[in-house]
Order: sequence, then C-alpha cells, then structure tokens
Amino acid sequence: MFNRTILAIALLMAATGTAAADPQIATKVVAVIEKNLSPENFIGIYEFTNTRLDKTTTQYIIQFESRDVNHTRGYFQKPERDKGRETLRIDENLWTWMPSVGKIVRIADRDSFAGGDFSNADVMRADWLSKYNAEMAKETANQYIIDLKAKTPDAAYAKMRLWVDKKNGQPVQQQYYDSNGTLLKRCLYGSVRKTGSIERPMHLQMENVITKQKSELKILDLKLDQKIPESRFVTDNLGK
Amino acid sequence: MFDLLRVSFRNVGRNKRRTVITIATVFIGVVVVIGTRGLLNGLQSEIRSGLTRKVHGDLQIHQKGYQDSLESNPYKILIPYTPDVVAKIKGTPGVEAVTPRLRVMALLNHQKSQTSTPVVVSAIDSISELDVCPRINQAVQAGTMIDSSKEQATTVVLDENLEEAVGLDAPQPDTTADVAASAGQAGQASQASQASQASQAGRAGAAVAPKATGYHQILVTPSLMRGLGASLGDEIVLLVQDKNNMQQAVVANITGVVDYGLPNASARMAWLDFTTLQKVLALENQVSEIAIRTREGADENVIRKQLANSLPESQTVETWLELGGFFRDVMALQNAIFSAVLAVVFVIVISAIVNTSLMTVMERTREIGTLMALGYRRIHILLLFLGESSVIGFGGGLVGLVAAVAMLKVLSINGIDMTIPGAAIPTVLFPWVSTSFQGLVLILATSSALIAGFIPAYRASHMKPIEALATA
Repeated sequence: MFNRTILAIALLMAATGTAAADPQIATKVVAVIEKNLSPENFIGIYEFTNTRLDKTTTQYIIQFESRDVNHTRGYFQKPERDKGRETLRIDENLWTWMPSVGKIVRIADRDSFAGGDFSNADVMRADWLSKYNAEMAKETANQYIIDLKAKTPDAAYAKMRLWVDKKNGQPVQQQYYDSNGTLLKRCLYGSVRKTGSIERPMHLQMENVITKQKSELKILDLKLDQKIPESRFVTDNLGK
Repeated sequence: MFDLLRVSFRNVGRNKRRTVITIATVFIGVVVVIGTRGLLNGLQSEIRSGLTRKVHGDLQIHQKGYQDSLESNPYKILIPYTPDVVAKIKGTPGVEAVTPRLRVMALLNHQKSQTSTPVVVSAIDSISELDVCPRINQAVQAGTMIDSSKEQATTVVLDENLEEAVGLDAPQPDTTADVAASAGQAGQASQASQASQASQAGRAGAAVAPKATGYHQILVTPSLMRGLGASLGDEIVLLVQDKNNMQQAVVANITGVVDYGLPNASARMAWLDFTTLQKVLALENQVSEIAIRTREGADENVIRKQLANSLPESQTVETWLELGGFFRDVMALQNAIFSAVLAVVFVIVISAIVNTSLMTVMERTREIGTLMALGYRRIHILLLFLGESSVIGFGGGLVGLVAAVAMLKVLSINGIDMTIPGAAIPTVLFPWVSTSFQGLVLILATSSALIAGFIPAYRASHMKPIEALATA
C-alpha cells in the first residue's frame, strides 16, 4: 500500500512535469540561450535599422568578431559616413574608435548602440546570469516565462521577463522593466536558424515602449569556430 | 576762529546771486550722486533679491568641481545631507533656513506627442525651498509650484499578465486592424485583423504596458512646453539612470510652467519633487547642493567662512554673487559707471567753486589789503576764504542731501516699475541709500568745496598789502 502511494505521487509529479520538479530549469534554459546568442569564436555580419517616429530610418552594417562573451569587436562597414568606426569590449570595459578624430572613447553598457534602441549591453554580449537571477514565473503549454531579476546593483534593468519556446528553447519575446515595474522596452525574436552547432534567432526587433521608437537587428551572416587572433582585442589596435 | 567763521557766513551772503548759483551747483551734484546711487542700490537690491530669494539662496554648499561634473556625472558630486549636517549648518550664526536640491540629466518624453528631449532635472522640497527662496512662486507662469505634500508614493506595478507571447515569426498586428478588432467590428474583420486579434491576445503585456502609478508633479520651462506642444496636465515619462546605472522611469503630470527670467538659464529644465527623485535614483541622504538663507543684513562672506571651516575640505561654500556670474559682472559694471559719474560730478563742482572763488578774490582785493593792513595775517585770510568755500559746500551739500533723500523716500513708497516689456517677472525698484553714504556725500561736498577754494584762498593770502590797497 505504502509503495503504491509513493508510486502514485511520483507518477503524478512526472505527469505534471512542472518546473517545481526542477527549480534550476529557468537557469538552465537561460544558460542555453546565452550560449547560442553569444557563441565563442564567431564572425558575424549584422544589419541594424533604426526607425524613428517621423518614419526616417538609419541603417548600419557591422562586422562582429568575438572570441568569447568578454571579448567582442565590431567594425562599421556601412554607411560610408560611419565606415571604419569600431567598438571593442574587454570584460566590463567598452570603447569606441572614431576614425574622424582618430580617438578612442570609453562608452558604457547602457549607452545606445548606433543611436538605436538596443543598448551596447544588448548587442555586445548576452550574459544575463552573471547579473540576474533566473526564476520561472510560469510554464504554459508551449512556453517558459522566466523572470530575470537584477542581483547586482550595476545591472542595466531591474527586471527582465523572457518568453521561451519549449519546442526549440529559443527566446520569443523579452521585456525590460524598471524597479517600479514600469515596462521600458520590448524585444521580439524571430527567424530562428541553425548555423553550425548553434541555433538562434537571426532577427530581433527592440521597441522602446516609452518613446515608441524601434530598432531591428538582422544577422546576415554568421561563421562559427573562427580563428580570431588575440591582438584583435587590444585597445591599441583599434583603427588598425 | 569763531569770528572768522562768522565773517565767512556774512561774506557768503554779500553776493547772493553768485552764492545761490554756486550752492545750486553743489546741490545738483549731490542730488545726482545720491539719486543715482539710490537707483543703483534699488536695482542691485532687486537683482540680489531675485537671485537669492527666487533662485539660489544666499549661499550654496557643493562638492568641489560641481559645475564641471554636473552634466557629465552628477553622481560624482553628491554631498551628504543628514539631520546632523542640517543641524551643523543651522547652528552657524546667521543661517536661517536650509534646503536640499538634486540635479541630474534625464530624457523627458511627452507621451501625447511622443517627443523626447534631454533635460536637466532639478528636484526641490517645496516646504524647505519656500523657507530659503520665498519668492520662488513668482517664477511660476502657469499652473502651480510643486507641492511636496501632494506627492503620492509610486506604487510598484506587478505584471500579472503571464500569457504566452509571440515573436517576430507570428504575423505582426496592423494598427488599423487592431482598432477595428478592439472596436468589436467582427463583420469587417479581415484575415489580417483576425490574425491581429489572435496575436494581440497572445502578446503578453502588449495591450497595456505596465506603468507605475502614484501622483507626481513636474514643472517645465515655457520653451520646453512650446517645443513639446504640451499642455498642463499632460503625462510625461522621465527616463533616468539611477546611481547604480540602472534605468528608471518616473511618470508625472505637468502641473506648472516655470520661468526664472535669467538670461543664461537653460531652456531644457524640469523640476520634480525632491523625495520622489531621491527614491527613483536610490539616493539616501545625498544631494547635489544645499541652499541656505541667511539673516537679513548679515554679511554672507563672514557666514561663508564659518561654514567652510566646519565642513569637509572636499566641499565648497559659494555666495549668491559668485553663483550669479552674469549679474556679478553687471553689478560691477554698474558700480564702475557710477564711480565715473561721481568723478565727473566732483570735477564739475570743484570747477564751479574754483571759478566763483577766484572771481570773489579778484573783486575783493582792496578788502584783502585792508584786512592785512588792520593786522590780519596770511593764515587768517586763507581761513577766511576757505571758510566761505566750506559754507557753500556744506550748505549746498546739506540742502541737496535732504532733497535727494526725500525724493528717494517718495519713490520708494510704491517703487519704480522697471519691468522690461514682455518680461516674465516684474522688476520693481525701491531706491535707497545708506546713512553712511549720505554722510560720505556731505563730507565729499564740503571737502570738494575746500579743495576748490584752496587755490583762490592761497592767492588771496599771499597778496602784498600795498599792492592790494593800491588796486582801484
């Protein structure tokens, strides 16, 4: 009798398959997403399109080289006006190289990337678990809804909420909040594609909920397992 | 000596016309000097009152390097503001009131027009701010000044809407289709609008973006109001980075329009309640500046020194004059011009008295000879003529002083309206001169007359008696 009761309880738990059975699932899901969004040793061509309220658009094409989540370098290929401009991340430090003045300028994670609605942090790396605690807010039939709450005071947002497709483990939507729960930005993911050993969204759209402006990111090309020399991640080599 | 003075008085009355003209010259000179100084004092008092009782306070305490870092890194220049600090400042003799202020950069978004602009946000506590700057309400051109007692704490919004979300791969809702769908016009629902309905239902949190509530007041400048096309009551969202660089939002309603009428004031300014902004920025017991009101008539430089001695070395105390750089230069220029006017008047008065005294000496040559023959020494002759000059100078000066002071008193009953047409804030002058300045002018008038009369008196005293008597 006792054994049958325990078996029934175990079957019930297995049948429900709730996240409560594995409290670490939120962290694991996010870790996989981070690995796909910021793989090691990749070279990618990204296209950014910023759409303002007056319907004007600005488009940038940038080549990114990344050794790991803490070492990423971006080179502006288009438009002609910004060609040659570079950004470099080394650990927590960010710099930009301005060819028009020949100077390196330090920038911040929270600053807007290329004047759009993505911040530098949004673009240059995805390492949410280092600054946020992942908790499962809800598990629906098709999606995990995960809350990422800031655990360090220097996190860019007080909270993020991430919707993840259970079938492919890919992010569907992400929302960014301030400490009072005001929604600041919303990011939609799409065009999931497999490239080499990773599978990730190739199209992102960031909407600033306050200003109603939008920016889009499309990954035009992505090559993994590239040999990128260490010298590419040295500030003195910016502009060279 | 008394005899000489009595004779001097009598001699002054001998040629009434010339005496009246000379006294009138001194009179006009004194009236011009006192009148000009009185008007200048009134103007400078109004400038000072405007700066100290409306904007800066008499003194301000900042971190050193405040002005350089304010816009680039406002968190670098914060100073402590605790009950102990307040007690120490208020305990300084001459300090009457203290108020805290916060200043940061923010992005201001006008929700109706969806226009965003960077602004400098200044946060004030309405109660203590009125103690330090009681004229601050004059700067409000429309609506009302912030009332800290009306601010309501922000209520944290929990996004309970945990529905499944859609990404970019789902059909994106068309705005017009959304309106049709939400209006419930099922007959017109096209395939796009059906998809839109489904996607809208599926987009968790998309229909109504959560926004923290709580009543917050915000004031803006007139040019910002015009630039945004805003009206009183419009909703504003301020995006700021808190002290940890985390992005925060404040939702507020425009409750007033503020114009200080200062020539170098930034057009992109907004004002919030101090406690509200302090909480948003996660700042506890820290402020950008402390403004102080001192006792009327107290010397703020003395109080500044005492305060500076009791505060850490990293902090600096500045007077209103140092803070109001433009007006400091204007007042210095005004004083310089006044000094020039004073010099010109001085020269004119001296010239008139020299001229009159020389004529008097020439006309009274035989009299001088007679006095010498009667036993008057050179010194007596000198003192006699100097006495006449001083009577003219003192008399003209006294009459001029009385008239000028009376005129200023009449003008200061209602003040003189010097408001520039179109100016936001009225400028009313109340002219005044200090008793010490009045005394100084009287002394100057008398001494000018003495200086002016010296050469003619010297010439008279050094005449040869025989030659003087021989003059027909």
